[in-house]
Amino acid sequence: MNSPFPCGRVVQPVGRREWLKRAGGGAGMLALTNLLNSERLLADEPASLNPMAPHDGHFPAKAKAVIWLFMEGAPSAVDMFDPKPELTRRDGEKTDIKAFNGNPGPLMKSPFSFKQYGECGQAVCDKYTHVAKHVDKMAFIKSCYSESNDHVPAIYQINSGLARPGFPTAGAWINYGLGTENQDLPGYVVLGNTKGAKGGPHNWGSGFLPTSYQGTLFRSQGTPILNLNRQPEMNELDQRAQLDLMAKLNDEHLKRHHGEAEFVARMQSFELAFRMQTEARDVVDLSKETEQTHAMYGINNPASKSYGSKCLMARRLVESGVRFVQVYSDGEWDAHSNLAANHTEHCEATDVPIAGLLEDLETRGLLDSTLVIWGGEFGRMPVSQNGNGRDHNPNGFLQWMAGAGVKGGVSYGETDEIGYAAVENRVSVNDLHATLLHLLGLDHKRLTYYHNGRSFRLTDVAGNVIHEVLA
Amino acid sequence: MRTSLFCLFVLISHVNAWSDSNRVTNGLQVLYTFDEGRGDVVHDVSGTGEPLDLAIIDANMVQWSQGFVTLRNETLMKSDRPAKKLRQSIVQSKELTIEAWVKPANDTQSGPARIVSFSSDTSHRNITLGQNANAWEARLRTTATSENGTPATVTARGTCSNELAHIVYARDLSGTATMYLNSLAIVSQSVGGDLSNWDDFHLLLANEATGDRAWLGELHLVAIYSRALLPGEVKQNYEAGSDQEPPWAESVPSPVARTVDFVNDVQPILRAHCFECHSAGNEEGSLNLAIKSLAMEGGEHGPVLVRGNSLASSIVHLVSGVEPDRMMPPEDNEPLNAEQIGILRAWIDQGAAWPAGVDVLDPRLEKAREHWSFQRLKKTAMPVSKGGDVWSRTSIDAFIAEKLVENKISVSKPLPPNALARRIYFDVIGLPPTPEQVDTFVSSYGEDPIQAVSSLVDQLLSSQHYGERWARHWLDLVRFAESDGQESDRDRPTAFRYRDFVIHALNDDMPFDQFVRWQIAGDEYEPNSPVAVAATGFLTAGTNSVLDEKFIEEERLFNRYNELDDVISTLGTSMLGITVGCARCHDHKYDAFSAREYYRLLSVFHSGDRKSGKLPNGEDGLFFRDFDSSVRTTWLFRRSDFFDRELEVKMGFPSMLSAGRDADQYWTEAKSESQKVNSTFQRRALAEWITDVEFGGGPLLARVIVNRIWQHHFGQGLVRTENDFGVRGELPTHPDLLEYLANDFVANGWQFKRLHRMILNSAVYQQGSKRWSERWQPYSQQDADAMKVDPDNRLLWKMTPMRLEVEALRDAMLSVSGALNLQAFGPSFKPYIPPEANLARNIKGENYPSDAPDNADTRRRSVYMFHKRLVPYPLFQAFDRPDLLVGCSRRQNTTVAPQAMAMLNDRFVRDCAIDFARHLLADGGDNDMKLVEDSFRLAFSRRPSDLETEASISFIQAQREAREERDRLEAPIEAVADYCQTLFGLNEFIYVD
Repeated sequence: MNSPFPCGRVVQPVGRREWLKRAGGGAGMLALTNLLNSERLLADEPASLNPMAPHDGHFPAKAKAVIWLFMEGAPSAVDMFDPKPELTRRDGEKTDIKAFNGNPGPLMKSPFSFKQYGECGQAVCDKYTHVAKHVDKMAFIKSCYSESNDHVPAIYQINSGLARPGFPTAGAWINYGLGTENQDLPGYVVLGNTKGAKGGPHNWGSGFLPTSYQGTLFRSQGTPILNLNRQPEMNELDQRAQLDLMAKLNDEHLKRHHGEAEFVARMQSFELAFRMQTEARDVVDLSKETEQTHAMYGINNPASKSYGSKCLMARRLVESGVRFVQVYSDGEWDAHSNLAANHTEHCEATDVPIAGLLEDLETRGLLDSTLVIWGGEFGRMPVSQNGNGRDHNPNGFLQWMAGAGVKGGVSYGETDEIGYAAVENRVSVNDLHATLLHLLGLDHKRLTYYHNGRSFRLTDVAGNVIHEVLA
Repeated sequence: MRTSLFCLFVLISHVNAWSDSNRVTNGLQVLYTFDEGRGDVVHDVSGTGEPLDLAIIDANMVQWSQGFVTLRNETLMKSDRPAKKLRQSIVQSKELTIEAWVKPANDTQSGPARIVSFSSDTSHRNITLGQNANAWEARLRTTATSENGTPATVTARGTCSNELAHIVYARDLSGTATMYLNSLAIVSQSVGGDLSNWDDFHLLLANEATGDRAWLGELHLVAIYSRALLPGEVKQNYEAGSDQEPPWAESVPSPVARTVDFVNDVQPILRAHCFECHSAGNEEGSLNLAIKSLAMEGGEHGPVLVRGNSLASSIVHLVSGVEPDRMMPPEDNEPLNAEQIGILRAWIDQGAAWPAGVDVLDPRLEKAREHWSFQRLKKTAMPVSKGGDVWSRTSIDAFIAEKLVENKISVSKPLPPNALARRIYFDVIGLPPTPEQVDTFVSSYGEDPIQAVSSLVDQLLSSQHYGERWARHWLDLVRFAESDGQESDRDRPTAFRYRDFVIHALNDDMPFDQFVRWQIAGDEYEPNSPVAVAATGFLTAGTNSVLDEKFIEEERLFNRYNELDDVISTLGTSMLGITVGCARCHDHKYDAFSAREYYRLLSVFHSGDRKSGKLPNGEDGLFFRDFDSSVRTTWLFRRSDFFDRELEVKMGFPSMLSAGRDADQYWTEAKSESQKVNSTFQRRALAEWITDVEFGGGPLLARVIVNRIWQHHFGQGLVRTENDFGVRGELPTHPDLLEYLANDFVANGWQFKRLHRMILNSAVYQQGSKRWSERWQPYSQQDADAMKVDPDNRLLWKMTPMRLEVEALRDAMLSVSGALNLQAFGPSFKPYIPPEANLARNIKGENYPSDAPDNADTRRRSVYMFHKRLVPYPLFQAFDRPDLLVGCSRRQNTTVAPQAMAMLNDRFVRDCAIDFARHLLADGGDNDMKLVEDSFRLAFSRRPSDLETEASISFIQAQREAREERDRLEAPIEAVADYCQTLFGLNEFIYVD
C-alpha cells in the first residue's frame, strides 16, 4: 500500500516561491509590476507579486490547458472500454473476491455489446458510440489502481494524490506551478455535479497552498460564481462610486505606508472584482454560441443538456485562457444495482457532449494544446452486487487521455482476465499525476511546497511519467 | 515508503560494467571478474543485456580475495535463471568462446571437475570446460556429438597444474575447436554438427548442477563469447591479464598520497554524504555505512567495499559519478569532491582500517543530542548593554537591542498612542477600541506612556474577550471544527465544550502544562471534572469516518489508522513542533524519530476512541476515553500494511527528547497516582512525559509554545519554521531570547499572561511599522541601512502591518456597527450560507440549514460560529480561513478578487454597512461632517484628514442624490451605508499598524 501520509524526500527546504505565501494574489489579480514600476515605486521589489501571472514550467509544455472529464461515482471499465471474454465465459462463477459493501455475488458478464473502432481497433460498448469515433485520438490507461474502496477518500486521492482530505488538488498545484493566462478569470474552474459535491469543496481545494490556487466552482445555470451578483439595492454606478472613493481614501493611507506592496495589490483586487462581474458572466453565456454548436454538444437533448452545457462552457473557458477545468458528471455512475440502467443513463448524458467537445476542440485547433482526461475515482468489480450491479473496485480501473501531447490509439497496461485488478504496467494515481504535470511542462519531482516542516509534492515521494502514452 | 531513486542497492548489480578496456568485447555475453570481495553473488559485469548473476550456493565454502575467489570446499555457483539468452545468442551465431583465468587447487581433481558448465546433470550439457587431473577438457554438444558432449576435446597431459592459467576454448563456424593455454593454441580439432539441439540450462561454475563434479581453486575471470575469438584476440585478452583495472579508472580521482585515518578523514565524509540514507533507521538497500560490521557486509546486493582495492569497491564507482544516472549521493545532493574520493580510495587501498568503538549506532540520535531545540533548558542571562541602546525598557528589548546595535540599526519610532491602542486591542482581544477607549488611553499615555500601556494590557488580559481571541489561534492548530468531515460530515453538536474549555483556560491563565495534560488525558487526571474530560476534545477534533462492520475490513482499518495518525501528527506538530507522520512508513529521514517510535506513540491512543456521551456533570459531550483498562496490542505496520502483525510494540516516547526516564516509569507513576478509572493510563503517562522539563519533552514543548505566542504578536516567530523545530527547521534569530523566555515561562508556572505582558510592554513591540516617507525615501541614513542590512526585518527594527484574520474582520464590522452580540460560550450559531456554497451532497444527519437567519443570534463573535467542514462559510473561505482538516499554524495571507467581491456583494457585509449607517445616523443626525468623523474614529481610531472628510462628504451627498433620483425610500440610510461599506473595504480597516 502506498503511504497515506507522505514524507518529504525533496531536499529544498523552502520553495523558490516561498514569498508567494506572503504576497498572495489571485484569481486574476492585476500584475502589479507594471503599475508599480510605472509609478517608480518599486526599486528592489520582486519582479511580480502576482502568483497567478503566467510563468514557464520546468521544460517546454505540450499542453497549455486541461479539461478533466470527471466521471463521478466510477464507471465500469469492463462494461465500457475493456471487454473481458473470460468474464463472459465464467459468468455466474463464484469467487473469493472481497468487495466494499461485503457479500458480493458471482462473476457477472457485461450487459452491453462491443464493437471495435478506429484504426487502433479499440473496443467500445454500444452505449458510447459517439465517443467511440474518437478512439484514435485517445490513449487508454487500463491498469490504474488506487487505495480507498470508498468514494470520498478515492475522489480526494484522484484529485490530490492522497486518500484523505486537506491536501492541494492537481489543479491547484498546476496553477501554483504555471499561473494562468487570463487574469480576469480564475485559473482553476470546476463545473460541478448538479446534484452537489460529495466530499464538498475539498475536492478542488488548495490544501496548504495559498487559496489563490483553489478551484472556483462555476454553476452552469444562474449566477456562475458566488458574490458575482450585486445586492438588489446596488447598481453599477453605486459600486463605481464606492470604488472611486475607496481609491481616494486608500491613496491617502498608502501615502503613509509606502513600500507595502500588499496594499497596492489589494486596491487592484477590487478593480478586478468589479471587472469580473462582467467577464465571468460573459464566459458562461452560452447563448453566444450557434444552434449548431449546441447540437454538437447534445444541449438540445434533455438527457445530455446538462453535461453538454458544461462541456461547451469548458471549451469557452479554455479558449479564454483558463488553465484547468474539471467537468463533473451529474449524479453518479455508482451502479450498485442495475448497472445496465445506470450506465445507459450516464452514457447517454455524456456520450454526445464528450464527442462534441473533442470534435470542437479539434476544429478550433485547441486540441493540440488542450489535454482531455476521462475517468472516475476508481472502477467497478467484475462480480455482481444485488444481482445486477457492481460494487466499488480500486484494484483496477481505466482512464483515457486525448489531445495535447498524447499518443492516439494506444493502450497501456492491463487488468487480469476478468478485470478485477491491474496486473500489467500498473499505474498509480501518482503516475497519472506525474504524467499530467509532465504534459504541462512540469517536473513532478521539482514542483514542491514547504509546509509543516517539509516539502510536499503532488506525487508524494512516488510517481513515474508514463512515457508510453506520450506522442 | 522507500524510493528506489535514493537507494544504493539497486545500483550495485550494475557496477563494473566495463564497456571498454584492453579486453575484447565484441560478442561478449557474460563476464565474471570476481571483484565482489564478499557475499554470495557473483555479478555478470559484461554490460550485455540483463546481467546473468550467479548465486554461490554455500558462501562459506569460498574465500574472497582482491579480484578473485577461492573455492576452498565444494560448492556451486549457479545462474539465477536458465541462461536462455546466452543459449540463443550462441545458437544463432553458431560460434562460441569460453575463457577462464583460473588457478586449480591441485592437478588431481577430475570428472572432469567443472570449471564452467552449461548443463543440467552429469550426462546432459550444452558445453563444459573442466579439469581432468593434469589436463584441460571441453565437452561440446552438437547434433554430431552426444548429449554429454562427447567425444570431448582434451589437452595433452601435463598442461594443467596448480599455476594461474589462462585457458580458452573457441569453436568457430566451420566446426574447428581450439584450446589455448596462456595464449598458445595447444589443441585443435573438428567438432561437427550444429548447436540447434541446445537447451536452456543454468550456467554453472565450479560444479555440476547435481553437485557431484566439484572443482576447487581460484577463479579470477570467466567470460563467454558468442563468437570464436581469433588467435590475436586470445592473445589480447591474455595480455590484459587476470585482474585489470576497469576502463573508468582513469576518470576517478586518484587516491591521496598519504596515510588516511578513518575517524578524522573518512567518517566525516560518510557522515555528511551517506548517513542520511545508509545508517540506522534508513538503511536504504539494507546498506549501513555507519557500523563497521554492516558496512563491510554491504547491502542487499553485495559488498560495496573491497579491502585493498578501491577500484573494485562499488562505493568508489558510485560516488565518482562514472555513470551519472547512478550517482551517489543522488539527485540534488552535493557530490563528493576529488579530494574526498581520493581519501576514500586511499583508505580502502590501505586496507579499510576501521578502529573499534567508533561505530555510529544512530546518527540521527547523535545529531539530535546536539540539536539546539532538543536540549534541556539552559539558564540564560540578559545581555549587558555595550552602549548604543537608548531605547530598551524590558528584558526582551535588551536581547533585541543587542543584535540591532551589532548591526548598527535601531528600532523605529514608537507608534502614536491612538494607533498603539488599536494595535493592542486587536492583538489582545480581537476587537477595535471604541473612540472613548482610545481617548482614555491617549490621555493617560500623555502622562505616563509606560504606565498607560501596562494598565491597558492588564485590563485587556483580564477581559473575557482575550480568551475568545487567543482561543482561535489554538483552535487553528488543533484543526477544531464541529462536524466529522469526510463524506457524511455529521454535526458534532457538543464539540463546543472543547472550544469553551480552551477559552476558559486562557482567561483563567491555566498553566500551559496543565492545559496540555488535560487535553491528552484530562479524564485520567480529573475523572469527575466535566471540564477536564471535555478537554480531551483535542483528541477528537480531527475528521473521522466510521464504516460499520459490513464494509470491507481493509477500508475500516484504513480509516481507523488514518485517524490515529492524524491524532499523533497533530499532537507532534502543535505541541512539539515536530513532524511525526513521516515515520509511519519509514524512519524519519532527518529527525531521530523511527517507525518503531511512531507506533509506540500511536499505541498510547490505540486503546481508546472518541465518544459522544455524558460528561461527569450529566451534560452531553464529545471526548476521548479508553475502552477499558486493558491495553490493546499495537503492531509496527511495515510500509503501512495494516495486516502486517508480526512486530508488536509497546508504548514509548521519542528518545531524542528523553533523558533517562522511559515510558514505563511514567506509566507506573501514572497508574499509582490515579483514581479508580477504567482506563489504561497510557495517555496520562504521555502527558507527564511531554510536560516534564527535566527528563521528558517539556523543554521543547515550552520553546514551541513561547515561539507561537511571539509569532502571533509579531507576525513571525523567533523560529520562522514554527512547526519544525527539528534538524531541518530554521534556527532562531534570537536563540538566547527564546531560551530566556522559555525558562521564564516554565519557571513562572507556564502562564501565558505573564509572557504577553513581557512582550506587550516592550519597546520593540510598541514601535511603528513604517520607515519610509513617500516615494520610498528612507527617513534617515539609519533607515536606509536597515533596509539594506536586514530587508526581511528579522532583527525587528520595525513592526510589520498585520492583516486581520477574517474572524477579526467580521467581528470588527459588527463591532463598529454596534451590532455585535457579545453572548459567550455554549452551542455555536450557524450563519446563513447561500445555496451556491451550500452544496455538499450525501451529508448524514442534519443538513446545513438553507434558511439560516441573520439576526442577533448569528451576530455573535466569530469564535462561536459553527464550522461545518463540508460547508465552509464563504466569507471566511475567501479570506484564508483554514479548512481545519489539518492543523494550521499560520494563516495564509492572500489578496484575491473573490475577497473583494465578497466585500462588494456579500449580503452580510452589506447588512453590516446598513447597521453601521443607522448607528452613525442615530448618533450624528444629519450632520455629515460629524458622521464622517465618528465613522473614522470608530473604524480607524483616528480623526479623518480634511481631504478624507471632504471626499467622504461629497460621496455621501452624491449617493444620496443618486438614490433619491431612483426613488429609493431609504435613500439617506442607503447612501451612508454605501459609504460605510466602502470603509469596510479599505486597507486601513483590515490592516493594523
